[in-house]
Amino acid sequence: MSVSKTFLALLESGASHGYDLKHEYDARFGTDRPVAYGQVYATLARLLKSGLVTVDAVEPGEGPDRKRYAITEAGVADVERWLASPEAPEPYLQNVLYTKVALALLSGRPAIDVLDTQRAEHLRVMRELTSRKATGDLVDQLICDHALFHLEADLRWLELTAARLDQLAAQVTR
Amino acid sequence: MSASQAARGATASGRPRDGNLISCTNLTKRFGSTAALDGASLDLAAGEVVAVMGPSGSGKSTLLHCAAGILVPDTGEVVFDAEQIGHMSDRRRSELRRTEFGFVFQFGRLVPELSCAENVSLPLRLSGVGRAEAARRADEWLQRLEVHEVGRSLPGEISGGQGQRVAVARALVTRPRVVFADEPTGALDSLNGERVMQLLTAAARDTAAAVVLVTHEPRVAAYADREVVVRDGKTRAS
Amino acid sequence: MRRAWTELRLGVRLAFRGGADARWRVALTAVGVTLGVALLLVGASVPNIVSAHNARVAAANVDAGDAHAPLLGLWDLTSYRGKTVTGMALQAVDRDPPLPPGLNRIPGPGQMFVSLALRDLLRSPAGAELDRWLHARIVGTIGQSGLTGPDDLRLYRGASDLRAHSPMAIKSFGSPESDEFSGPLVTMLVILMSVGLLLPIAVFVATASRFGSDQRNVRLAAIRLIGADRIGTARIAAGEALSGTVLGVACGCLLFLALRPLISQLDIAGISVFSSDVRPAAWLAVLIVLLVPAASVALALLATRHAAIEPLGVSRRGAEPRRRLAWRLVTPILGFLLLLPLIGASHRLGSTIGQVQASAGVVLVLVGVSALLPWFVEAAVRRTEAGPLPWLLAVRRLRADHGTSGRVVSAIALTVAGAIALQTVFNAADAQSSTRVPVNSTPTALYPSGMLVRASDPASVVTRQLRSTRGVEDVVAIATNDLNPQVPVSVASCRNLELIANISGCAGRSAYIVSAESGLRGGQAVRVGGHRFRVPESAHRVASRQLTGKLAFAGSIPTGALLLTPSAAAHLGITADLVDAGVTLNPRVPGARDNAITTIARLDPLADIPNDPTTIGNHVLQQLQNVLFAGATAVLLVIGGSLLVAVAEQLRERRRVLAVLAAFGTRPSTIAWSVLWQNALPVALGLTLAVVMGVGLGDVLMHIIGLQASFDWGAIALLTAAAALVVATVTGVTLPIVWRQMRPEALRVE
Repeated sequence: MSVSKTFLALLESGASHGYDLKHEYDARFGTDRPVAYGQVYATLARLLKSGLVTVDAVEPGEGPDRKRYAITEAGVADVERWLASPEAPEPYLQNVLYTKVALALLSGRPAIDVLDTQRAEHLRVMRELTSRKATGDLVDQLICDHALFHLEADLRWLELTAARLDQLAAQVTR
Repeated sequence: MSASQAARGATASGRPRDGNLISCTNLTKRFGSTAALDGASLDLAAGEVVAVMGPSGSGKSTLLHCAAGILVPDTGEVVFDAEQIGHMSDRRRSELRRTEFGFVFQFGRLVPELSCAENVSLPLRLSGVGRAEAARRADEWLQRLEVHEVGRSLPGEISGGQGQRVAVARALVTRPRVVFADEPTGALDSLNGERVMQLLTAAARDTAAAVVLVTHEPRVAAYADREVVVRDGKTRAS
Repeated sequence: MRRAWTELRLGVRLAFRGGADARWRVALTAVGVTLGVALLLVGASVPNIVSAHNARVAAANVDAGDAHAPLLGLWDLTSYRGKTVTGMALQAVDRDPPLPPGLNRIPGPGQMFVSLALRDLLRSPAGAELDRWLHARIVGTIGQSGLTGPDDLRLYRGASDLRAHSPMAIKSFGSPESDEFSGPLVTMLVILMSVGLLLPIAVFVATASRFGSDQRNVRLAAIRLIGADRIGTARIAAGEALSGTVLGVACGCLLFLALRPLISQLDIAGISVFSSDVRPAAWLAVLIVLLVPAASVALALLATRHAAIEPLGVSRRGAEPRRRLAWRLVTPILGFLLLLPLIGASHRLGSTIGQVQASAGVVLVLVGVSALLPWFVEAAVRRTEAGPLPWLLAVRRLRADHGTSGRVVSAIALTVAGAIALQTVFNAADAQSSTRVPVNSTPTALYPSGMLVRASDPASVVTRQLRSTRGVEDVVAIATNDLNPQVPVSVASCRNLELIANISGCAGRSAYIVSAESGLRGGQAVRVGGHRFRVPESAHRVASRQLTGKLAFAGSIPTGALLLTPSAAAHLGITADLVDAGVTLNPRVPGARDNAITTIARLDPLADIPNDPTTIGNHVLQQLQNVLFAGATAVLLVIGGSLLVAVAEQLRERRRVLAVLAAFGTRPSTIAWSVLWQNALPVALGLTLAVVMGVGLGDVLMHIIGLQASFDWGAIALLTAAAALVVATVTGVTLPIVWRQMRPEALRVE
């Protein structure tokens, strides 16, 4: 899961300090694994270096948290690209997908597009697996079926999320 | 049809219009106060298998019914083979369904008092094929779908999987150009569902029939060449 | 016990609260049962109607006394415009004469008491002619106790000269019994009418209580799923079945009460009924009210027993066994076995045992029709394979639904079989009564008799007056001395005498002895009514002859032993003042007949004027036959209604199949034809069976009452056609339902 893309997307809704970013991230997505302070500043430094964020204000005083980060145009484009591209269908994808949906909702983008894009990708892979099944032997078929059932579970989750987007939006943007 | 409508139709279904067997553009259909379709589009090329996906009540069955000329949409147009279905008489649409289309429904929907073989020969006889010839061709198709042994049984006496295969045979026996399948595996377990889908798609590809496959199951949709999603009566291309 | 009650109530709740569909079915059942129960109650009232009618007829009958009885009476029946006017001329000859029922005194000469119906008729323009015929003053109305019904046209009029008409001497009114409804023929008719028309109604009620039983079974299966046991399910089913039928029974009783006044307005076979007499026999009413719901419960239990209702759905209990012919033949054969010993023993119909035997026989034969029909249909359907698509669909549907259609149709077949048997009996009765009707009247002639005319030459008076009546062509009038004389004497003009005997050279005081009549001799002294005279020496012996031409009639004008010219009679001092006449009418003059009767009534209001030829003889039977046809039609319509409901119900259950067929592009005409075949095939088979059984039954019944069976094939064809029409209509009416069910919306609902 990409902490950097998430930070970028969070910054899109307003400039923020590293400290605040960490807390927002933890509150929204890091229920199991809060991001470490070290990783926060390392990530922000990397983003700064690649020109996706800038420091729009430095407050007087000591310590690393004096800088306020803001997203650049290049950063917005990057977020856009990230949200629009499907994740490679793989197990335990929902963390990323959820993050994407929530961030799309936060940034006022059509979250349903995220889901549809992902569905198309899932189905593409499922089609491949299905046609491989038609030519392969039983072992192939069984392996393909395992993958298919997992992908199907993802898709069901996508479907369910799509059906509850309005509810989710209300909760996320509260 | 205006150019902008054409363009919308094209973008919505993600395919160019040219060479399409069926083009549904911007369909709306209301049942009472509920809008089943609210600007849905669907293009189908010859020999192509398209899955129509979406949650229950999204309007996917209505889209299928409109595309098949069973229902006439309130607005929008359905073109089959360069002919506007909306402008056809009921008689002509019935004829179209008899000769060019085949249907598979959930739970088979076989005529319960006819034997399986008679069910398969039914569409042929509706088109005026003689009894003996219809029976012979029905037999062939039952064999092809591996349910030859249930030919003389009544639908109530066979399993769901067998019944659905008989239904597939019934849909394909007239060698239609399009097969409309509405949740063909809805009532089957995975294994039977898989088998029915394999047989259906294989038979359709053999006879170069296009298939419109309405399903809410991703694994069934995976048998299609592409999918169209219907949500709240609108199609979303992928 | 408490649980049973709860379950019954649950069933009732399911019936009423199970959504629109359930309420619809309850309503259908209730409507069917309502109609059936109302008809059954009317049928159960028939014994009371008949006995009340008989009692009323008996009350007005006369108990004849000896010559010293205080009252003289003469029946005075007139037929007026196709209606029978029952009259009696009364003359009190002593003090305290007996009073007819409904009268408080004996009317004086020129006065009359009339029924309200007759009073209304006489006061209307339509009754003006009758008023002229009767020409008596209305002095009162006859009370209800003296009438057979509200439409009874009855009158009592006073007379002064009744002895000349040889009246009855009346000791009192009221005879212990009336024989109007009796005899083996009438018994047979009553048995057949009740059985033939009520049995189909019973079958119909049974069918009505089963409307929607398939849906009910599905619902019961759902209840089984949540833990009801077999007995509990049966109780719930009983509760459901009861709610429709109990409602129907209640509504049926109300409908019957509402119908009672209407029944009194009906004029059946010239018999009208006071609505107070339309009372069902108490035990029959109780039987109907209890038996109909009980039967519906029994049928519901049978249905739940037949289809195993398991938690996971309804399954027919195994493969339905092929219907066996053997036991189905038992009922009709048993029926015929009961009837056959009665052949040549019609007197046994007079006893209760004989009547029960005959009724049971008829019931069994007719029930045999409905027992045989399902087998017949199944056997026929099993054998058909090939055929066009609609035919195939129809045949397969019939094969699949195991006798449901046969059950409905069997009610139709039953009605037709019963009606054919009835028709046969009527036909024979008709033939029998027609031969009994004396040919004393034709449309162009009239033969009044017993005109009391006090004049020196009564025959001439009558001749003259009738001749001058508009529309009368020719008159023969002959006066006789007495209706029951020692020496009958006929007095008439020479012209008229020549018509009735081989006479030549009649003139002046000619006298003739009719040789065939007696051993009178010229110069013999005879005594006529206290008057002594000598037969003239000149009296020739002559032979009597038959009247020919338009005046030809036999036996109506008595030929006396002594024929006299009026002057010969006057010379001998013989009074002959009762005139019989033959009148020919000009058919081109409208009202000729009425004019002639008016003239006759003016000559003597008590003259016996034979019936209008259009109403003679079989009038009553003709009307009964109309009642039969009306009854059969009503029953057919009611059953047609139930067939309609059954077909509609079946189509509702088949809407998905129809929608699928529509999706496949099936032409609506294909479905229409298959529905028609599906209805028509069992009906055609049923009607064939009905005709065979009905004709066979009619034949046996005719043999029992000793009449030659003759079949009115036209009427049989008519009945059959009516039944076929019912089916065609039902199919026609259900077609819109077919079109509606063929809409693909039905595909949407799972």
